Amino acid sequence: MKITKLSDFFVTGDPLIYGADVAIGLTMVAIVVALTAFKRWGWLWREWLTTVDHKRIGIMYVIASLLMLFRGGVDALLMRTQLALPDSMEFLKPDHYNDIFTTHGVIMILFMAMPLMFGLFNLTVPLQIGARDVAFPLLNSLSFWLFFMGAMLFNVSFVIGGSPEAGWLAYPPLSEKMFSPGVGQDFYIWGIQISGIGSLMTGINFIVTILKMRAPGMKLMKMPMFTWSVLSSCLTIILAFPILTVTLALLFIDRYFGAHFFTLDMGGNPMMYINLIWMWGHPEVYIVVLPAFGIFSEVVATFSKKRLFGYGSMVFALMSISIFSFFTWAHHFFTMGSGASVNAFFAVTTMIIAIPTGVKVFNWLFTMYKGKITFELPMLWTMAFIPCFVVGGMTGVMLSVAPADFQFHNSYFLIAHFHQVLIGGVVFGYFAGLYYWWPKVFGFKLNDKLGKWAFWLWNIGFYVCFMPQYVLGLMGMTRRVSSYSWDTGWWSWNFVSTIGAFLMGAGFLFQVWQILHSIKFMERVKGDPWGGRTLEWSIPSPAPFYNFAITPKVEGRDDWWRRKELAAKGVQDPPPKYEPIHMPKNSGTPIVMSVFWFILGFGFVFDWLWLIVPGAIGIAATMLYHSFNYDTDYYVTAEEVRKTEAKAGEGCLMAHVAANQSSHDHDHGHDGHHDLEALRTMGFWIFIITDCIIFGTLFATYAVLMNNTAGGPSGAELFEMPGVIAETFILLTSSFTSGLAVLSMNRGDKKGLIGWLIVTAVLGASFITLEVTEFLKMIDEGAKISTSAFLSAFYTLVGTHGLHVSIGLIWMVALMLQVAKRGITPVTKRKIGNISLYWHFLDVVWIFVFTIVYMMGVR
Amino acid sequence: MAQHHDTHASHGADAHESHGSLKSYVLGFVLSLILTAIPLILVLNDIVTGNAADVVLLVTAVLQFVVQLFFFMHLKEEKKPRYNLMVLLLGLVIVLTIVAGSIWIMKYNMVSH
Repeated sequence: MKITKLSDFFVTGDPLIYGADVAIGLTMVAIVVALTAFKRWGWLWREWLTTVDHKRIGIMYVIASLLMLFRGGVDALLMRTQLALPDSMEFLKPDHYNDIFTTHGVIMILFMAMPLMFGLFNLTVPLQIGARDVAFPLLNSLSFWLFFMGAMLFNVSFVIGGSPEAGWLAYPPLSEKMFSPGVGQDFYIWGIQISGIGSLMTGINFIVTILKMRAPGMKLMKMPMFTWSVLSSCLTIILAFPILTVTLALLFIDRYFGAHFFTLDMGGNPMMYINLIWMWGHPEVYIVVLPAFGIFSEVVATFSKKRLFGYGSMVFALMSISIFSFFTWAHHFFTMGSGASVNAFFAVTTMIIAIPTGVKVFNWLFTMYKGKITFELPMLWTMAFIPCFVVGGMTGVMLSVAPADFQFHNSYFLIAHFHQVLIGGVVFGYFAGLYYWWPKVFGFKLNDKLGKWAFWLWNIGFYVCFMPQYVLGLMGMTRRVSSYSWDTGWWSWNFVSTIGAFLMGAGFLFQVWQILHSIKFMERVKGDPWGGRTLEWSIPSPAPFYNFAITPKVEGRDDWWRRKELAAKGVQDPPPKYEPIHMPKNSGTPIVMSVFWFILGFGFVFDWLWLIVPGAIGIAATMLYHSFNYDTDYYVTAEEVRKTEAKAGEGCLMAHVAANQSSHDHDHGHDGHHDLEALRTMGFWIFIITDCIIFGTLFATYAVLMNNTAGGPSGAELFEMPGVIAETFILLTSSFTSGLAVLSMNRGDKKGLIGWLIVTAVLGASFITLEVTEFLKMIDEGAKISTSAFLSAFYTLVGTHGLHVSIGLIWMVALMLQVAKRGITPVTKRKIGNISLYWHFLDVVWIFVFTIVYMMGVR
Repeated sequence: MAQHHDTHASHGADAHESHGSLKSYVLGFVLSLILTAIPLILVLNDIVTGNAADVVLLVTAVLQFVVQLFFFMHLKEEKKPRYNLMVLLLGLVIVLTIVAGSIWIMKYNMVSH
């Protein structure tokens, strides 16, 4: 985009925006001044920006999410102010209103709920399973910084370039270039894409952590319920987020390359976007609610001093919800004309998914029955959740009745429903979790009295705000209208609703006051302030940087409770024998790579090659740097462990890093407890599964659009089979030779390994050459990506495969160099095993490209 | 704990999926060649057409996928618990849902063209 005047770049004309500009500028200056005056740049870099400690990363996620809760909440209050009175108010013009409801939705779900959730995962899961960190600490840090950069990109759009205004899901055709020519929509795409990569990585990280790093004796069915909920949520994440990645990418390809996936002309189909985005969107809401359910299970058991009722059925419910969430998505567009059969199917699946949730509610109630119940803040929030979420769920079942939904769809009834389940379920749950685990993280409790004020304001505010909205929906008020007239009769309910919104805002302010007050007056606590049942309460508050000085040996569910009961009977723990602990080193790679992603995204938004190219090169360079870097771990001496244990619990967030992170290759693939290479192999396999989802979504798009040639050429006219057959046999042979490379490696034959890798790479390069020639010829004949929906789908599907092959070639060369230098070691073996798996996977994908695209295209 | 555990680790890595023998790779390669040749010959020479051709194409594709899964990616050799197999099956179920669900919703409804 060519910038000719200031208003092409900065958003102008709105005093609120100018005010925001000033506030942002002043804040940035204040931060720089404070860091310099207190000489804290080094501290910031060492302790926070380069940390790979899950506890620190968790804190950063929580801080970011609370800041975003503020921004999203302000958006809400702005909207409610505008809607308090009928059309005599022009507080927000329609365009501005559209900016705000779009931003509100994106921020609350993607930049508030998700990071808060990831924060709770990070703060708690390793401690609950007796582990010292997550499976992939550096990847964990990268996840956070990618989220941060994605959120920055999105947030910056309201002062630079302009906000997106097509709603939180950016439906085409409104979100296409024709109707949203500004850069706002591109900020949306890139902010969410970059952040989404981080989310996917966290999903992989925690699955491997939970499956492979539990303390000895902690079988799956002995895990805490929160950890089960995290596992189920992460399984959903790895299967759903690739769909989002593809869908947003297709929208971007439409906008940037003039393709026709979702346009109104040349064979595009906007409904396909809605279909795909909700295939992600529905699982997404279960992704956020399942960990909330896990929190409730922990809190209810702890504050009833009774073990959780129905552990087995709780696990079954979590896992069923996690999978069945993938079978309900069309209920978000019953009214789009899919017909009775489709609607009936999805109505039924939606009703079915309410059942496991019901099971969970009853189990929580049965846990409380005959328990010794106390009402600390975590328990209060849990009690509030139950009636709120149950009612919200019931309105969900009402909505699932497809014919009735024709009345409810896109009305305030829908808005009230989803806010009720999201606030009553997710927000209340995460608040309960924050209050519950806050003392473990920081070593002090949050003030009870202020917390109760916040609690009541939030709850009363919630019902006052949203109950009237059900009525408004039934009276016919539709969503996303910035004003309504007096004669609708809607204004009294709207006015009441606005009062409720401000009550919730007041509740939030009390929480901020509560946090500041508690930091000042520090009601210090020790390791187990609530009388907890699970392992995280068995270590000091805050936890030492290595978590467990001695890895616990677990014998049952609620193992900490069991050990406390034994101690009460006089059974002593044996005196601790400290040993050296293997820990991951801090790293600047994640934040550096994330900055390059920001640069790339910003470049694509404004279509500035001078940012896109350096951004892309920077990302590739940091990835290669990481591949070649074998100096990633170190050992903490037993003596240092002993000293740290002696000082435990004495301060907030004690010295984070060991005194001496000595520098040489300590990563031998094993840390004394875990086979690190096995973890990394499993992580890579899961990544391949996510890649299957990427290609599956591309195949689905191709299947739907392949006949939409819009009068232009079809596959039968374009495809030249000799070239395709050659490509097929070349790739298949290269898959075979990569296997021969692995065989050489297993025999310890370094020369054979490198030799067969070279053959594989040469074959791969030939494949790419043939494919590029094929594409160029087609483009020359006038068959471009922008010619028709069929061609958009063809180039994207086949091109994505080609991109994977090309990246694989670069990776292969990098590994050849590493093997040449270091020989065949556990680490290089794992890397070669992984690239070989990747290469086989690409050949499998090609089987289906060859079959579905080319063979079915020409026959 | 501070000692090198190279032998342990390499044994551990060895016991994972990179076993396989020359025989399995060669067999996998030959079967894949055959399963590629069959659809090429049958379809490009119009020996089968229409829906029958689609069936031949999809069946040979799926068979080749399974061949490569077992002969190249050594799926059978995973030790218990077979997490990799479970996640793969789950992923395939979802892929099928995405493809079949999209085709059903988008192509067999009141507004499809």
